[in-house]
Amino acid sequence: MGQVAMRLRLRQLELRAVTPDGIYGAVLPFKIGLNIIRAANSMGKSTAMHGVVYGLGVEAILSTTQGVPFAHVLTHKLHTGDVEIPVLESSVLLEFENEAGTVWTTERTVVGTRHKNLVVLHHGPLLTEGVTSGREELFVRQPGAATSELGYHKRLAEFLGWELPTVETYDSKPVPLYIEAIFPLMFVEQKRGWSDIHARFPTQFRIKEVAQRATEFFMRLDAYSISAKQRAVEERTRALIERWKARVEQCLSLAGMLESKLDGLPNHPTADWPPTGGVRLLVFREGAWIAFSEAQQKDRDALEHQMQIPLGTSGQDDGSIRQQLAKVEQALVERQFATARTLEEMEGYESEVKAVQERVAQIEEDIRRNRDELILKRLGASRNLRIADSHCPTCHQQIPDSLISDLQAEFMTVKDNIAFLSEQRDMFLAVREKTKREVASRRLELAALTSEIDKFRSRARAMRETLTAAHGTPSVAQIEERVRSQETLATRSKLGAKLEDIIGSFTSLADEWRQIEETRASLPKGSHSDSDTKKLDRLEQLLRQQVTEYGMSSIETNTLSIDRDTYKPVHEGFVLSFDLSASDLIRTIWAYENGLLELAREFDTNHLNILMLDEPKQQDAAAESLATFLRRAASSRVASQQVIVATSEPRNSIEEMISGLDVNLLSFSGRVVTKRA
Amino acid sequence: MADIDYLDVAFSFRSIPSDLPADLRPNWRVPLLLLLLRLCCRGGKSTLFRLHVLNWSSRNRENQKKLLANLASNLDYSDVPIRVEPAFVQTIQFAVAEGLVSRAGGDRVQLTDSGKTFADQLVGDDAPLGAEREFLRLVGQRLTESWVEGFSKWGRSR
Repeated sequence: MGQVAMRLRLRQLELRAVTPDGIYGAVLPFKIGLNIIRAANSMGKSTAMHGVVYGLGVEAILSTTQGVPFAHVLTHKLHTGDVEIPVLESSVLLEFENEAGTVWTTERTVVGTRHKNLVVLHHGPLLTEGVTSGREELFVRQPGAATSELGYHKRLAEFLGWELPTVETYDSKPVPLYIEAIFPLMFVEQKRGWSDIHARFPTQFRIKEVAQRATEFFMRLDAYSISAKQRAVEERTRALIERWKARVEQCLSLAGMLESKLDGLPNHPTADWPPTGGVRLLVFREGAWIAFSEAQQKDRDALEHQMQIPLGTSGQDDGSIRQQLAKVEQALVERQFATARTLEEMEGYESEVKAVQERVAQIEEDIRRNRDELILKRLGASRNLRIADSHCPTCHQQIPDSLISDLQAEFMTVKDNIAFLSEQRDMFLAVREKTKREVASRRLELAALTSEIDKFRSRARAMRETLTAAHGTPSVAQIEERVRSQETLATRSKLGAKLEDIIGSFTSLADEWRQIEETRASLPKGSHSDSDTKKLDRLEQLLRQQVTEYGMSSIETNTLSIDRDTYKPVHEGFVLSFDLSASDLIRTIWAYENGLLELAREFDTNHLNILMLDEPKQQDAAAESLATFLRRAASSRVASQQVIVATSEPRNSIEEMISGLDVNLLSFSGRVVTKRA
Repeated sequence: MADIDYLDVAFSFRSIPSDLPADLRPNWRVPLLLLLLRLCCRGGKSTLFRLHVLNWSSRNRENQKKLLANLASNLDYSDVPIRVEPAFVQTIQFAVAEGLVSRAGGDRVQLTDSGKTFADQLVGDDAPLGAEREFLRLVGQRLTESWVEGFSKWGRSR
């Protein structure tokens, strides 16, 4: 036996209506174990059940509107015999206690001057003992009800011992898992509650995957915290990838200023730092890529060499200057040819990038259309289109899923086709990336060539000036060359040092990446912990056991299972409402709801150890099945749990079903709400 | 002995199904037909010829651009090299057999009630066929029967 930590025990419900004919009302005392509210149809059973819901402020589970969830009896007029009497004022009082034995009585107006969103909280057993130790006014069903100190649901969650997790809305806003989202797991309402497992989860809060989140919390599964941790890791991963990329950009732009390229700098974070082969800064010199440091050294040596030669004067050495000028002009022509060739290559690669890009866009379009096809086929299937079932609507024969009728070819399924296209797209993307790198490399070469050309041009110009200058003046060419070389060297070393600093800072990013990868590895592979699996396995067992007891007939009971994603019962992986007969669906809902209750006896869960079912015997379920179910539900008494069932079964039939059981039968021969003394 | 060792192994061929563009699948194209009628044809009713023009134009971006450019400027029909596609004829036959579309006399077809409710499911922003719907909304009801008549006269005159 696991300990029972959460509890909501209902003690008494009172409905009150003030009329010109005096006070009308109903008093329903509840006990531990099975409670049955019995009355004929439209005599006020559901009003009583909704009274509990209203007292807890969770009427959002009944309807999305802001109105009160009551029939005429509490809102407009009530019937007594054949007479209709107007309701002047009405209210609902509910007394309940928690695990610690603290008792609260809440009072809410249905009709009257007090606002319906106001809850008067009496501390103490006002209804059963007439004692309270104080009262407060709290609000419900408006913003803040779950978070503000004056919010009824914040206080109620604390009272119940629920620590509500934060969940995400569809617009990614964090909100508490509202109490209203959890109650459908303990309350099956009459109108739509029996059409499917958990037919009604309130959607108005816009919580993402609300049914899953609520069930995970309700069964206290680790799945939620696991997925939260997984999301946190994803978030960190994304952030680090961005920072890494930004830093790579910075490096590339510095490298661009140095007319050089970076080799071996990974675009994507890696824990393996420095990368094998190191990060190398390369400069294009005289037709080849050499290390930046080597180039700097060469330039420094050349400058030093130049400095050692005394400054020439014009006229002094015309012959050698002419010789040098010829060399420079030759180099200039070579660079110009190289530029033309590189430009042509770059344009070739650029047009290839464009072509591949177009192909990728086409493939992506086709992938999108294929995805649409999957949805459209499902829509078609729901309209019973024969093409959705791969049959020809004219001749009813099986057809390949294709509009090309004269081809006897066999075609891929749409899912295979999507996989096939995605693979192709990935391949083309890889080609595109590689080609883009080629373009970038050519662009750098061009920049390097252009700058060399500029250098040679100005050198040639200076030489020509020297040749034509007056004899005896110092060589313009040499002075200019020295000054320029010095400046360039200084700037380049500064930029180079800065780049090196940034590259060094990748060490800490790589460390962070390693930590993220370690965290990722430490998380469970699937979405469930071992304890989750035990709970879900046990729930599945309880489900199968009960549906057998209740006489399920339309399917093999061992083909029922609990879906590990949605936590709902499924039959061979499919949603139940498709395969089950209506009566078997009802049996499955009993078994599932009661299974959750029984699970709470053995495991730590956030179940409040209470279950409320409005009219569980829908027309389709057999009487003997209901008897078996009630007997099983009565076992809740031993476990100090509460089950409240409202039914319109005839009194003698119910009494027969529960004979020998300790059940609190609240049977009404007429209306539930009657005139009080 | 093979030149390359790893090629020297037994091998066999196996047929794999070929891939097929989604727009050649009936479950994609029949809903597109419904959308053409719903968004671009008054009363969900159209001649076959006009449907062929709409079908041709919605197949790819190139054709979409050509038709929109033509509708925006004056009528030079040589800008729009419209093709009649056999697969689309098959699409219409399927839609008729499924009871989504019915023949409305002459060479006209129109949405049935069942076709209309299906088409209504496809006009919402979250529905599939997003890009196609966006294009068809741009066309709106500007592609009139008289445009189509003009096109066919121009075609015969050449």
